[in-house]
Amino acid sequence: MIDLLASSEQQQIIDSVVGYLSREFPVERLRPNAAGKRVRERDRWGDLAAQGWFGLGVSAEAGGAGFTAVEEMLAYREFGRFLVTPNILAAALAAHLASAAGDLELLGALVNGERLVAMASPAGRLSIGPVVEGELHLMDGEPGDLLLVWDEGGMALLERARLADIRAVASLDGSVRLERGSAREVPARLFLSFADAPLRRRANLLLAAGLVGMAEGARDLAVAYAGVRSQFGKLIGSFQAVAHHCADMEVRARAARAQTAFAAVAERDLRPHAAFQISAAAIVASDAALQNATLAIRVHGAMGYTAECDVHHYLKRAHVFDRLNGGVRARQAELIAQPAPDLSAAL
Amino acid sequence: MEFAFSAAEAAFRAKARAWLADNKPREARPDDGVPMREFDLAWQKKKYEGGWAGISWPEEYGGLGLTLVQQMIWYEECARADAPLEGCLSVALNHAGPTVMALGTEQQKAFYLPPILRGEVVWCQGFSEPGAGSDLAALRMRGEVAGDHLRLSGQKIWTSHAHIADYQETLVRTGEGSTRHKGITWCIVDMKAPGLTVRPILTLANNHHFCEVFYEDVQVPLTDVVGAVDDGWRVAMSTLSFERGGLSAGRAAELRYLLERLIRLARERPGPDGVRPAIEDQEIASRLAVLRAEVAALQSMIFETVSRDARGVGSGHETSVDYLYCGEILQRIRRLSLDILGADAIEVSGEGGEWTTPYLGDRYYVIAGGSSEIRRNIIAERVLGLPRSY
Repeated sequence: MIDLLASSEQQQIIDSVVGYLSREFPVERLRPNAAGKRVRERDRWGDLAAQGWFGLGVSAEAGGAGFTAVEEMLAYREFGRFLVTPNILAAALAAHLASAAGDLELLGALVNGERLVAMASPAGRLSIGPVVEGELHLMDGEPGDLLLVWDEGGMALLERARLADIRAVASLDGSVRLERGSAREVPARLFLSFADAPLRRRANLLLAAGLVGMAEGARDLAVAYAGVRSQFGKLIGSFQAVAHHCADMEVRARAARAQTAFAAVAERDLRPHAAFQISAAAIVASDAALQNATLAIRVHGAMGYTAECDVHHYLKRAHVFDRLNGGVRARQAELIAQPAPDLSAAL
Repeated sequence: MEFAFSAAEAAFRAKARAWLADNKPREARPDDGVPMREFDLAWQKKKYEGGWAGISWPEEYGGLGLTLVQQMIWYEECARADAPLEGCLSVALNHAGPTVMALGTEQQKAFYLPPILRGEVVWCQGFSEPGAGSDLAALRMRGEVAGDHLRLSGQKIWTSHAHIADYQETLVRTGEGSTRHKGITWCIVDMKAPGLTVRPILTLANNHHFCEVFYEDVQVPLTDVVGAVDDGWRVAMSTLSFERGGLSAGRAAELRYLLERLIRLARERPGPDGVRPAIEDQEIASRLAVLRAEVAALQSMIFETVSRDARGVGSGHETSVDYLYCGEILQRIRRLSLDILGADAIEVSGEGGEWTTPYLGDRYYVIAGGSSEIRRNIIAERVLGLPRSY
């Protein structure tokens, strides 16, 4: 059976994620005048944990919700659409890491939100192994956090307290607080080499899912604006210059969405071409998010240039995701090194 | 979300693969004139004799009555075997034939449909005119009802394969004072009818893909009108739902194998430095990787289209998204192939001709049957719900 559309059970998961996020974390929360009263995701971490989202794709025996890569992909698409902190991705991947390493105690603390995990990413030279050495970017972090970082070779979880010289830096994406820190021979709390673990594929799949949500979110803002804004006595969406930008956004978003869905199914079903499909998903999703956000800003005209209009957040967050832990260039090299997939295998 | 082929689908694939291995044409397809016609007809005849004619046709008209998944499997296997698609029989198999099925009389069905499947006739499509291209409803060519005939006078243009066709599906304006979609009639013109002149047009790819067709009092029996006189717009649109995505699946599969051939070429040929293989050039490798990702995504979009078809959801306009993406990716693959060829890119003879000739010919896919710009109009209006922009 070929069915890349959500099942009714999967749709329920999507609906519950969207329902919660539109109530608690609508994108409008990021507007400058909302900053004072803004509730940050980490202030509600226990609440987010209670939704079961951090252990969504971890097996039920290990204390997770027992869903597959597909349901996890669907949820992370929505987290991307609502521009939820990258730390929610760090939490999920840390849970997978703890599960793979057999550290059930830590897994429990991660899944129920007792231990917070912040996303980290190499900032220049960083060696990741049982010992981590080099410079890192830290996102939305605070003292006491665990940090999750990975590169082509493996994924590590480390105590933020072991880092030296942590200082705040101004962030391209103002909705993500950014710091730099130095790891000087910091032993990893957990380390897993990617040589024998599917975790790298999962990380890239969920990154792609988030970028699909952003690509769709930017498209939807542009289309909605083109349908209400008038110039020269007409809705601007009735000008081909604008309509064709919107059509191209639809093409890119649809391509990225379909590829990410297919990649998630391939990953769940342990297909030999799963790595190929996930690398492809990361490439098209990153392109879709960056290009759609760029054009969506332009469709909004001067309004799109303001801090108040939500659309710029999509561009900035897409750049953060595009850069996380290696970026798109690495996906290109991976993809071209793979054999062409055989999609005809029946199972 | 599921992706698996059933045992029956796997068996169907194995059967198609085995048959294609034994029966696909061994010689290259001529790209012009009567030799091309003979090649395409012979291939259709072979498929008919082997029980593979009418992939998308219902059983009651002699087709195979295949599911969309089976159609997709057939096209995938054709691409894998490097077997050609329908070529100049595409209008007959995918448009004119299905129109006759939908709205033709029993006599019309009995007379016109079987020779199409048997590979005996070529059809062309007389829709575009000098003043009516993307805007089909601007067509002006007249057809006067005179007794039991229509009398056609005027001109059509951009008629693919008219110079090698037996029949033409033709739209003419019959209604008194009719404009736009009203008063149009859909009829079948015998290309040997007196008063009809075909003038092939040389294309930028140096072949005669399409023609001008002139009509001087050409007589068409009213029994060759499909649907009612003056109701031709509805007749012409009746086949829109016939194409559910099988053809897009075929083109996506071809694109996949085309790109893999290009990747092999880049591994085998020296790159810009004349020493290392082209694929070791960072820029070429990067462009190939992006195209590989896009071709994979196109394939996934086709799977999504198949999913919507199986569930009976969606408006059908989503296939415009697949088609547009497919055409644009093809342009990028062709462009990159010339960059990989290097100096040989400016020869259409010799080894490079395998890539340079189609580089020219494939401009076709972003113009014909609805240009990329028209498809963007459709996507904006019908998929995104924006106001009409044209």
